[in-house]
Amino acid sequence: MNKEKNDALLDEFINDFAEGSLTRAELQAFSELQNQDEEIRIQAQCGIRVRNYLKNLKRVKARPGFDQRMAAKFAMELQRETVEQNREQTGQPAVSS
Amino acid sequence: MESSSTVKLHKLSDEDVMEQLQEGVIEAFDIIVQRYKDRLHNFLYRYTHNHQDCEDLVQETFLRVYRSRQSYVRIAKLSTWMYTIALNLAKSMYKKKQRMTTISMHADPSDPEDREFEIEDSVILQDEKLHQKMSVNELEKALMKLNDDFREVIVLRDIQQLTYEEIAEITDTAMGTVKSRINRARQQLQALIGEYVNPETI
Repeated sequence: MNKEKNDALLDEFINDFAEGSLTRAELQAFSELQNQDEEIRIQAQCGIRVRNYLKNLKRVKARPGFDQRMAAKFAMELQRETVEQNREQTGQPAVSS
Repeated sequence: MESSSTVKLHKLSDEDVMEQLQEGVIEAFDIIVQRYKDRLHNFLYRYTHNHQDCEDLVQETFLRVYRSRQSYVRIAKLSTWMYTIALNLAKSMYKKKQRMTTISMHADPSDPEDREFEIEDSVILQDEKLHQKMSVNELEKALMKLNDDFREVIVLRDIQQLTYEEIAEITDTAMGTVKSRINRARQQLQALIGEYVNPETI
């Protein structure tokens, strides 16, 4: 197996370990690998930690009044579309904004 | 009170709702907005760090979805298609801002909803609370410091919880590259925050 493929496989294992999606057999094999290679162990633990940090990051939601502001923008868009369609039907040239 | 057609739309899958929009059912647009407004805010805020800019990008994403509705093909999930539009908008806005000025990593002081990032007087706050606020702030800063390729995959995976397949499609990148970038992004993020963040306080 060449180095590139090996690295890709290792990345996949580290990600799956951090996300808890390794099978029991894979987990056992990967644990042995971690015991043999300190660098891999550090990367694997780091994956878990960073995921935990990000999981707890405050979720940002739409602010109050977003629906009304969006509806107003959409109404303008519909109006623009109608004007454009009328212009096409009457053969008038489009006015660039 | 909702009309019966709106009630029916609520029960449809995203892709079916989009099909309705393609057929001219305007109410379908509102359903899409309701389903995606929070997800898009949570995603785009990681690029703007400012609630007003974030809302502008979310609105523009929805308007582009509407304008390009006929180009949507059902082979793609609607969510993937929408994230692709949002990501492209975020990237171009980010580049524009970078050209104009050095990006301030601090929250917008004129925006009252950014106050969660203010560091208050340490005398008032207990140590732990202060540390927690600083840690979240440092984490947000570290995310902004990641290079574009790393930031987009880690935000899509660890914040938006998308699958590798979806991320590969949104970023137009091979799956192997996505996996590799995610691992490297996590390592780089840890290196950036390592000295500031106490995991127990996040």
